[in-house]
Amino acid sequence: MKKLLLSLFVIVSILTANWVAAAADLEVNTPAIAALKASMQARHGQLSPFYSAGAIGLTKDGMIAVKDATAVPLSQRGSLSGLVSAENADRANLYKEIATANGHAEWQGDIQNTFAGRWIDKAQSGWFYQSGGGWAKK
Amino acid sequence: MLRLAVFASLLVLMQSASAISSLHITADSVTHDTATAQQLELMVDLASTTVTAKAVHIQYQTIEARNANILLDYRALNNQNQHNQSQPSLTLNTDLKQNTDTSWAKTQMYCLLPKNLATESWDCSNGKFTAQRINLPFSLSVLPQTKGFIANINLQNANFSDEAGLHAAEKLNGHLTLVAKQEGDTLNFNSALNWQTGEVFWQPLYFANGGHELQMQGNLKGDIITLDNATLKLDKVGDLNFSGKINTKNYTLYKLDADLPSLNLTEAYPLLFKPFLGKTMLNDAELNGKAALNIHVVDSQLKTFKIKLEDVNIDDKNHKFAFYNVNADIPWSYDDATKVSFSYNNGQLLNMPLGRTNIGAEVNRYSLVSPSITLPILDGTFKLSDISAARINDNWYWHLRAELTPVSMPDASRAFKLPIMQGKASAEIPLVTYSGGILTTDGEIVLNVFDGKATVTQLTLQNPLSDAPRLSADMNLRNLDMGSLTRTFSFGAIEGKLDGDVQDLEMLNWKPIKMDAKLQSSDGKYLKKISQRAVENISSLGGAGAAAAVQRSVLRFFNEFNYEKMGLSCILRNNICEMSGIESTPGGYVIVKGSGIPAITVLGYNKTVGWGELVDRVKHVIDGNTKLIVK
Amino acid sequence: MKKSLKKSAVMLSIGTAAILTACVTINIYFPAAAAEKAADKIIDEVWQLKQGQQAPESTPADKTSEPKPAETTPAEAKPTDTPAK
Repeated sequence: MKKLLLSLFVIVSILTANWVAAAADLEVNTPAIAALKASMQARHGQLSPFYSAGAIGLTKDGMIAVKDATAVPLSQRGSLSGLVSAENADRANLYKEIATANGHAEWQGDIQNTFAGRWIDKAQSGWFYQSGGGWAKK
Repeated sequence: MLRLAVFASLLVLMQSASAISSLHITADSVTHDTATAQQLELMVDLASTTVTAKAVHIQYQTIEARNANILLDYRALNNQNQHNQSQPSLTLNTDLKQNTDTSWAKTQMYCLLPKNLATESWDCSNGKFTAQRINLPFSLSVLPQTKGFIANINLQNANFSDEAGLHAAEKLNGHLTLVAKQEGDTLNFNSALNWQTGEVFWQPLYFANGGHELQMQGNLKGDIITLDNATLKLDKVGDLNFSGKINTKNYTLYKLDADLPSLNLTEAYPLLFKPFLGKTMLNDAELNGKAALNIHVVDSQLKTFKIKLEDVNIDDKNHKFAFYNVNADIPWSYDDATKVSFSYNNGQLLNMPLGRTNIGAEVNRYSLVSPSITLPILDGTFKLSDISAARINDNWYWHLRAELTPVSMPDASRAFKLPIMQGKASAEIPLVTYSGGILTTDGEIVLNVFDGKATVTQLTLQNPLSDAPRLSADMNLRNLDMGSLTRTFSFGAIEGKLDGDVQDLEMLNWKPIKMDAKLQSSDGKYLKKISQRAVENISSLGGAGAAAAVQRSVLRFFNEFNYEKMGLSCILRNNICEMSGIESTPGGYVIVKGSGIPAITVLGYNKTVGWGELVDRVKHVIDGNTKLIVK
Repeated sequence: MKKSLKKSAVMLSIGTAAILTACVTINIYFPAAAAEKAADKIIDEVWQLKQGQQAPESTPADKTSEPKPAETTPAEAKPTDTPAK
């Protein structure tokens, strides 16, 4: 009887261990995600001064938005909205691709929420993020 | 008609018993036509000959003023003035706003009044209009005319911006001349706006410099503006002549004729086109040459247009396409069918060199047909026939037949920067359809390469020119000569013939993300030999163990082996390649099955390999790196 | 005695079964910790931050100002309540 219990425990622990191992990582190494990352990384060089100047900020839904275009010289204002919409298109795709790469398209919203918090947590001091109804400075 | 409402109290202050030296009139509310003034105060100082008018609030149509203050100074006439001025003056100070605005703008103006107010010029310098984000210093001179005026306004170093910063200007200097004359219910005007210097951002357009002029001559009757003659001169870009008739209330365009005889595309592209091209494939190109444009609109309907391009060069900065010496004559009419022509001398599309091409087509409102278009590509031609395209609900739909006459593979491999392959490629596609951003082919594309045949079927391409083109296809290889194949890709010599089947291939941005691929030696009798280096290389694709085993064994003394059969397959899902061979063994699979003496059998043990790792391994092998990176 | 042991064994297997099903059920829920870890990895790459490190100019939330070792997942290292900004 004891043996039976023991073997049951072993089975349980094996199964649990398997589950933990499976849940430890999300698949993020697909070509689609890599392409999106590369595109966002290249764009970040252009966006970075706009974050610092307070022209754009991180939204609470894991996107970015124009906060104050007047913080940018006139000559660069035209590219601002284009960069923001391109970045948001990439971000939306990224959340979708992570969800589908892990076989759970329905996770997209949760992934987006998770990213929203992490972008803000990792933002440089001085950058703006949406908090409540307005913008807050980190 | 002046009506003094409520109470008007008249206060006469007697400074001496003999004469009235000042008058002080206050009124709670005064209404005149559509203007209403509240808490009006009028002070006439006869001793110093000044008149001060104050109003706490004025409403005129949609404009409100508060704390209005007007000082008429006639001291000049009795040489009593402090400003040493020889003329009487008018000083105006007020807060202004539109009814709908929440914040007020400050206006101040100082004008010298002529002796004859009705026929001589009023000169106002040091005018200022300021508000949050707006600072417009100006000077103004107005010359009254019978039933009209001539006004000259100068803006000096003006700045403005809306709240979002999407319409803004900095250091703006400009000049406006406006001649207006009322005739019955029609206001005739003639204006000339000269934007001298300063930068302007008017989303999405950005002008770094001035030098532009706008002249308009026409009339305003009720809500309808008629422009008889207007010219917009954009510095270095071109002159646009236009005339038309528009309703300013509902923006109905009754008529528009516009003519742009010579547009400098080098200047116009970054200034006027690029901002509107956003995420389209044309948004990062270099453009030069000349264009002409002509448009006629009647009752809000585009009736005709004509575009001409003269020796235009278009060069995509991301090298996705380029067209040189483009000439085009594209007339279009809402009512009649037109013949369009388009040609270029040379160019490239996705690195494929294009030769001289002439395209002629017939356009009938929103559809286009052309019997055939021949595109020279390398030493072959790409022939399109039975072309028909239509634009329905802002989407393009088209279909055509395509045929590629033999193109030499060495040239094509050079163009695509691939290892030089031998042979010729040709293709015939009975039907190509493009609908909703997806390009679909029916039939097969046949490439005759390496003395064998490669067939591509079910090819579809989504958003081919975007950043993330998606391709799906099935592919079959039959009887490819492994001798020349392995020499081309420096894989270590193998003699024999190769068959391959790639089902459900999906590529994103030209990288495979899904496929069921199987490569194996063809059936039949032919010379089957494999070199030791090839054995090592093949082994390493299935895992490092086998390669090392070859090195350790006695087999390293042989340069060449015979084989009976070989094959390797990969089922790619989620970036993992599940590998197998021609048959499975306990714990592994057979990649090469040997025959004769010495017989060699290569076994693979790694059943799953990361796709990236596999690609790295293949690259290392092809690069001739004998040392494999074993992870 | 034997009976009670048997009983407890039955109970235990039911419990085990419950745990097993629980495991299976939990598995399809959104793996929040794994998602945070994945998010951190991607954000570090996109913003070119050092592994698991916060943005350079921000004040360190904990005493260890040195880069965290690669094994430490940012999800674990993250304080439960968000630091005041």
